[in-house]
Amino acid sequence: MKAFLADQSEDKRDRLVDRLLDRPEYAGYWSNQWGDLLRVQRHGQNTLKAGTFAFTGWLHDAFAQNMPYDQFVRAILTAQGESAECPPTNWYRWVRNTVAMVNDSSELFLGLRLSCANCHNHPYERITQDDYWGYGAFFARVSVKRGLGDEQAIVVKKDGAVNQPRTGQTMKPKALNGPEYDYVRGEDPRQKLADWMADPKNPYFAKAIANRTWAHYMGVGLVEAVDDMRVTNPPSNPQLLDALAKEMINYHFDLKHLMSVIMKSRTYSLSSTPTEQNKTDRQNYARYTPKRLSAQALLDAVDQVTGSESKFEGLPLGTRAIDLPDEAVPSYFLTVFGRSMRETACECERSYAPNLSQVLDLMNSPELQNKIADKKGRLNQLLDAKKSDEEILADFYLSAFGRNPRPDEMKDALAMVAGAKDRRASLEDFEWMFLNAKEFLFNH
Amino acid sequence: MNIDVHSGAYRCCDGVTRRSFLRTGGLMLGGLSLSSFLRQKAMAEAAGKATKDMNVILFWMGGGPSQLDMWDLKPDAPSEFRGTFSPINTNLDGLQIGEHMPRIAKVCDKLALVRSCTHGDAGHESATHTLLTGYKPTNDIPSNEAPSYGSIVAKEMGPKVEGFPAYVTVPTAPKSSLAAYLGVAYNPFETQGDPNSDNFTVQNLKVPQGLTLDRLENRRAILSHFDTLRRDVDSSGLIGGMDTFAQQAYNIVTSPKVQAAFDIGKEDAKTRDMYGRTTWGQNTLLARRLIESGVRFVTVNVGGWDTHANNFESLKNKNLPQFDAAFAGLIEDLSQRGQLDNTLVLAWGEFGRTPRINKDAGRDHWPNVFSVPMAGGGLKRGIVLGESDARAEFPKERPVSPQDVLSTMYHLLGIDQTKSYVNDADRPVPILNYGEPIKELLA
Repeated sequence: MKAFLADQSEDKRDRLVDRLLDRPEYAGYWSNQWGDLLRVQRHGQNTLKAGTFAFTGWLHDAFAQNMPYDQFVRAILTAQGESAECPPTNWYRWVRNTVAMVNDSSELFLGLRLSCANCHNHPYERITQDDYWGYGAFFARVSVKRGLGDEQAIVVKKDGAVNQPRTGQTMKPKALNGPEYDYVRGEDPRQKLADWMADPKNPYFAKAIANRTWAHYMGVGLVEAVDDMRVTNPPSNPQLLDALAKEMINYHFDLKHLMSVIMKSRTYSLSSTPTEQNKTDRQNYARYTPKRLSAQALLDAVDQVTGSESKFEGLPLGTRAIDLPDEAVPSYFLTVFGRSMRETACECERSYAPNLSQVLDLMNSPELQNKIADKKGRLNQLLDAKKSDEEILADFYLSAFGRNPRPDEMKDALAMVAGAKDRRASLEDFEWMFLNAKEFLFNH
Repeated sequence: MNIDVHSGAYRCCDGVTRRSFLRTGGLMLGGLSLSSFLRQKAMAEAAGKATKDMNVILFWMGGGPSQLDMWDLKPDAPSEFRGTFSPINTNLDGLQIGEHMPRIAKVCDKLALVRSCTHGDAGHESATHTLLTGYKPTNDIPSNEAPSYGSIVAKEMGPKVEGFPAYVTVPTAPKSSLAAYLGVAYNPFETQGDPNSDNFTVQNLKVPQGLTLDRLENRRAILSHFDTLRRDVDSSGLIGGMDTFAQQAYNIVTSPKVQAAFDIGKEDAKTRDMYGRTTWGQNTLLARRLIESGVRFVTVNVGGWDTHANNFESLKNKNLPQFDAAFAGLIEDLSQRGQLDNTLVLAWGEFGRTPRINKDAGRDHWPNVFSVPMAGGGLKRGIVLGESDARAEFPKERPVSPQDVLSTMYHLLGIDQTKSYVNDADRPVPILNYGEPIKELLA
C-alpha cells in the first residue's frame, strides 16, 4: 500500500491490477463466489462434508490456475464418477433432475431463465416447451447413484432419452436456436452441449459471463439481472456487451484477462462522488456505484485491520472467511451480513443490503471488542513497538481506509488522543471508528 | 406537491399523498375507469379512522398449510380427499375444525375465519411474494420487487413506542418480507436464535463487558467527525440506510426497556407454558412481548408446511401440536391482557394443499381455495365467512382474494391503500392496486 502511494509512475494502477489478480486470495474469493452459484451446500448433513470440501478445493485450484472458462464449464457440465474423485460431480448433488439441470445450467452459463417453458411455451419469448425439453435431452443419460460411503456418484447410462411431458414425444438433444443431435449409443450428449456452449458462434455463452463479470465489478449488469437476458430485457449498452464478449472469445475464455480489462478501464476507475451531471445515473456507469463488502470479504477485512484471527468451527486457525468450504460453517457475523445459503443458482441470494443486526454487531458485539483488545492484535503490536500516536493513526488509515489521513484529520485525531485520560482506550475508540465507518464498509 | 419523476439522487422514500394521487391520477393511471376511481377515492376517505393504537402479528406458514386438515374438514368426502383426521366441535356454535387443534377449538369464539380465500398461483416463490406484498411478481423466481406489508406498516405507522424497531421477524425473515423500494430502513429486524433454548439472547443489544455507555457515546462522536464518506455517493439509499440503523442501534443499546422486551426470560413459567415450550411457541410469546412493548409489526416465521409426503404424520406429530399451542396461547394471552382489540392476528402461507391425497400420503400445492384464520384488531369475534365446495377444491360461496385480506388489514390500521410510493422505475405504485375490506368481518 505504501509502495503504491509512493509510486509516481503513470502505469502504477495497471500494474497493481495485475499484482492483485495474481495474489492467492484471488482463488479463494472467486471459488467462494462460484461456490454460491454452484450450490456447494451441506444443507445440514455433515456426512456431505467430504463432497463440499472437495468441490471447494477443486474450484480453488481452477481459479488459482486460471482455468479457461469454457473448460471450467465443461468440467462441471460433463462431470462423472465418484464425488471425491471428480469433485465437480458435486454440482449434481442439489441439481438432481432434468428440470433443475436445465434451469441451473441455462441461468448460470447462458444467462437465460428457461423455467417458464418447462410446462408451456414461453408467453413472451421465443422459447417453446419443445426447446426446453430438447435442451433437457442433453441430460437424458445422467444418473445419480449411491457412491462410496455416504457419497454419490454420477453415472452416464449408455442409453436413455427424454420425453416432452405434454406431447409425450421423445426429444432429441437440441441446443437453443442451435443444432439438433441424434442420440448415439454409448455417447454422453452433455459433451455436445459443452461443445455448443464453447463455440465462438454461440450467441449466449460469452455474453453471459462477460455480463456477469462486469456486473460484479460495476454493481449493475449491462443486462440486469445477470441470469435474465432476453429480447424484452435488452442490454443498456449492447456495443459494450458485444465488445466484452468478443474479448472473451479472442482470449480463449481467459477470466483474468476479462477482469483485468474491466478493472483497468476508465469506467471502473471513476469516482463515486456525484456531479451535477451524473448524480441521478443508476445504470450508465457515469460514476462508480458504491457497494458494501461481501460478508466474507468484510469479516476478513475486519480481521486484517484488527490483526486478530477469527476461528471457525472444525477448521484450522488462520482459515479466512473467503476460504470456507460451504454454507454450514457457523458464523453469526456471516449470517447477518448476508452470506448466501446456496439454495439457488441466483447471485441475488447473497445480500449486500445493510440491516440493523449488522450495525449492532459492529457497534456493540463482544466479538468485535475482543478483536480490538486482542493482545496480539494490530493496536497492541503498535503500542508494544512504542509507535507514536501519529504513526499508529496513520497505520489504521492505511489498513482500514486505504489512504493517508488528510492533515486536518490527523490534527484533530492527535488532539483527541492527547486530550484523553487513557491513551490506549482512546486509540481503541479510534480503531472502533475505523471499523464502523462507511468509508471502510463500502467500496466507493 | 407534484410527483417529481426524476427526483434527484435519492430514491424517493416519501409517500405520494392522496391529494397528489388525485392530481396526477389522470396522467399516471390513465386506464382507471371512473367507477373504480371513485371507489378508490371513497376508500381513501374511509381510511385513517382507526381509533386505537394498532399492531399486527403475522404467522407466516411457509410451504402452504393444509386447509382440509386444519380449518375446513370434509368428513363426507371420499377417503382419497378427506384424509385421516376427524373434525371436532369448537366453542363457536356450528364450527368444527381438525382434531389436532384442540386448544384452538376453545378460542374459536374469538376468531374470524375465512374459508374461501383463493388465488391462481401454485408456485412457492411467486405466491409467497403475492401473499407477503399484495403484488404478483413479474418473474417466477422473483426478487423482492414490491415492499412487504410489514415494511409498509413500518413506514406508515412507525414503531408503537419511539426507540423500538417498527418491524421484527422472529426468528428470521421469510423471502419477500423486505422493504424493496421503500428503502432498507424498513427491512425487518431478525431476532435469530431459538428462544426455547436456555441460553437464548438476541445478540448485541447490551453494551458488552468492559465498555460503558459513555465510552460508546464518545465513539459515536469520533465516528461522526471522522467518517466523511458522503451519503450522496450512493443513489440506492444503502448508505443512508446505514445511518438510520446506526441511530436505531444506539436507541436500543441505551434503552433497558427495549432490551427487556427482547428478554423472554422475564416471562413467568406459566405464561411460557401457555404457548408451548417449543421453538414456535416461544417465538410467538416473544412476538407478543415485542408488540406489547413497542414494536408495530411482528412476523412469526413458522415454516415447514410443504407436506408433499406423509402429510398426516407430520401434521399430527410435528406441526399441529406446536401451532395449536402457539396460536391458541397467543389468542388467550392477548385476550386476557385486553390486547386483542388492538392487535390483528393473521395466519396463512402462500396457498393451501391439494384435496386429493397423492401416492405418498401427501398433499401438493393448491391455491384455488384455502382458509385464513384471523382475530382481533377490530374484527368481529366468532365468525366464519365463505365456504368451499364439497371437497374443498374451489370456493362455493364468497370468494376472497389475498388482496381483500390485506385491504381489511390496512383498513383496520387506518392506512390508505391508494397511497402510492415511487418504485425503482420511478413509477408511483399504490400500496394495493386492488382488494376491498371484507365488510362482513368488520365489527
